[in-house]
Amino acid sequence: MTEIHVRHLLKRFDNGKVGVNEVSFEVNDGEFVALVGPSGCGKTTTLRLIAGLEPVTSGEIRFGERLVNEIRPRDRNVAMVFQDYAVFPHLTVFENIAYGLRARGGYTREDINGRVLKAAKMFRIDPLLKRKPRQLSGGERQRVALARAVARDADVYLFDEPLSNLDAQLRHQAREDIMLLHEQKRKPTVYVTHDQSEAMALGNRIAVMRAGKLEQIGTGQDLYSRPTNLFVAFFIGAPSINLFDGQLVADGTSIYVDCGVFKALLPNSFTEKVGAHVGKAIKVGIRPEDMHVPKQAPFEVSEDNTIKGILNEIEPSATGSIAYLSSLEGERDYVATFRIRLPASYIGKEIPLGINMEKIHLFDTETERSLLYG
Amino acid sequence: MAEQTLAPGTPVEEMKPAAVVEVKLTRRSRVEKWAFLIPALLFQLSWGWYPLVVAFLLSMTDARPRGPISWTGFQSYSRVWADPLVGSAFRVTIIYAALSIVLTFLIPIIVAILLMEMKPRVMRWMMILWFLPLSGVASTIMWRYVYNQDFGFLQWIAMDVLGLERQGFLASADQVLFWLIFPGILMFGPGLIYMAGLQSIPQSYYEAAEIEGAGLWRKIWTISLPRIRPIIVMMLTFAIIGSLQVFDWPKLMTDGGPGGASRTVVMYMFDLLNSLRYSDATALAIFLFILIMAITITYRILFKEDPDS
Ligand SMILES: Nc1ncnc2c1ncn2[C@@H]1O[C@H](COP(=O)(O)OP(=O)(O)O)[C@@H](O)[C@H]1O
Ligand SMILES: [Mg+2]
Repeated sequence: MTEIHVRHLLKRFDNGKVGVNEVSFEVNDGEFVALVGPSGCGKTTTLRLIAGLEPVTSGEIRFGERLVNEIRPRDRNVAMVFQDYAVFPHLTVFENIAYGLRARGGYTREDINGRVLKAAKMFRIDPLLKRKPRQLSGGERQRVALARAVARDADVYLFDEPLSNLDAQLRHQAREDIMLLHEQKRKPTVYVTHDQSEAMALGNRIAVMRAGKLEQIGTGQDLYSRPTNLFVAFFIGAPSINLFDGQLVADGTSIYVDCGVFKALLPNSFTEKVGAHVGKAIKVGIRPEDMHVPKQAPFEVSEDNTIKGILNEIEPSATGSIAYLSSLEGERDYVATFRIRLPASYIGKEIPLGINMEKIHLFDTETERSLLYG
Repeated sequence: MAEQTLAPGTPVEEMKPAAVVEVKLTRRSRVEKWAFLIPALLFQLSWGWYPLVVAFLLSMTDARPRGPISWTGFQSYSRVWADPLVGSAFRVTIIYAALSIVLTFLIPIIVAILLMEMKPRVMRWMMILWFLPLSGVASTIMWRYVYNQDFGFLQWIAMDVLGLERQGFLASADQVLFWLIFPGILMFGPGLIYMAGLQSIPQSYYEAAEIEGAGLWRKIWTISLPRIRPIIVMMLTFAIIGSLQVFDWPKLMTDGGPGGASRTVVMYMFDLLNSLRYSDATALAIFLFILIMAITITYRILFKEDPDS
């Protein structure tokens, strides 16, 4: 039974650059945490610190009770799948998968053969055991790396963007292979990706990083509906959340968000949280799926929750359609998604959409923290 | 071009020019291919095969500076074969080659691999040392001083530091070959080539091996060596050919002494030429050629090309 505890982890490189800045999180036993963020935000560095490939500048990494900061990678008993797979080109598939078993010793020949075969079967590469990596496709090489990780019993599993070199079709299958590996091992797993949809699909929880800092960690649902800051709100969800500059205005006991292109009444339940920001500039976020055609809206659409704009383009999607709109004066573009297929005859017309005000997001312009969930 | 012919409804007249251009292109590329090959072929013929053929012909004659020349068949071969100095020269050459391959070929590989584990600063210093040129007349002056029996640096180390008795160094028939090779251990350019090869190995291989539980030796054995194998094979070919033909360095340092203990085959060839025994010298050259070819071919068969590198 192990968990990963990361506390106040800081990494300063030799050139003075801080790659990971005071990051703290836990990965529980058997949990799959996806670490996501834009390129260069410190995901790989965090993973390499956990693996022991980079020395920690300050902070703590524990596996269960054991402090591993000063322990060599090979003694941490982690398994890692690299972005370029790091499959040894001069060894056969069999030798690659057996590498860790042979290096660690203590396995009999039959034991090694059995484990290699089992791992290879799991990822459908058992007919390729005698081949060299040169004779494999990218997808097969990636599965060799997975098989190498699964052949051995590690305490912690780490993945660094293992799917980024695969084409879209293989990626889907590879995701399932990774889930299969996780089901088998049920060990704490950190999975790095820059693709938020991959993180949403795989992770029990998702940790979002930006510029070396951990912005938020939580379930996909948490990050999507209750982002604590503007960055997470924008990074999670596709198409991205619509952002409007606006301000809060009070009218008697009611508080309105006024963005120029629309003005809408906030639900009473929010009044308390946003009271202090009345009169100040804020950023307003509305997810594309929270704008509805008035007739289909699950709430009553009125003057107090409507945004009007011109429909520019409709794109069919897997779940319905994506509409690209702009405000009447054309100064703001926004996106809405619908469960239905909009008829093309609407293009160029003025369309009013009802905003689900219960699901609106408000951010402080200065600190970018959420007024509602921060 | 392909699009044009594939497009449906293309009139036949329009397809013709395409075909003509294609023929022209192939002819042109054939001409270009030869244009690139001919200089290399001429070079190979004039500097490689022509001297070899002439040497072979010469060895079958009684060639001399003046007077008529006649065919003598294999006479010079049997004369050279029977010459005790030839046997000694081959013995010296083979010992020299073996010693220099063991010392100056294996050691830099090991040092280069171990250097990769060191700090970049240590690595840079060693690379500079390796970069210092070894051969050339200038460095013979320095090394002659180092080996000087009376006031040389090594004699000082042997007698004053280690407390040994007076050493012969280049003047000792037993030691001379070792001391001729010794400078190459310290300053041997190929070390740089191994370092370059080692540095081109992706770091992630070592990291993956480390995570899989490999220690230093396993990493060297399963990653470093297999990855620089093609370089090792190539460098070893050069080392074998080069050390079997060694001439200038012992010529300058000892001139074959003491008593022929450092006289190599090529040096003896040089002596034969100096005494105007042209056919004997060329016969000896042919013997050496056969030896080198035999060793190189055996070696190439033993170490086949590795397509995975
Ligand atoms: N060895 C290093 N020395 C200096 N800076 C580094 C080093 N490795 C990474 N960095 C920097 O640290 C930041 C985080 O890098 P990385 O963890 O690789 O990002 P990610 O994996 O999220 O794309 C980047 O800005 C990168 O330039
Ligand atoms: Mg990365």
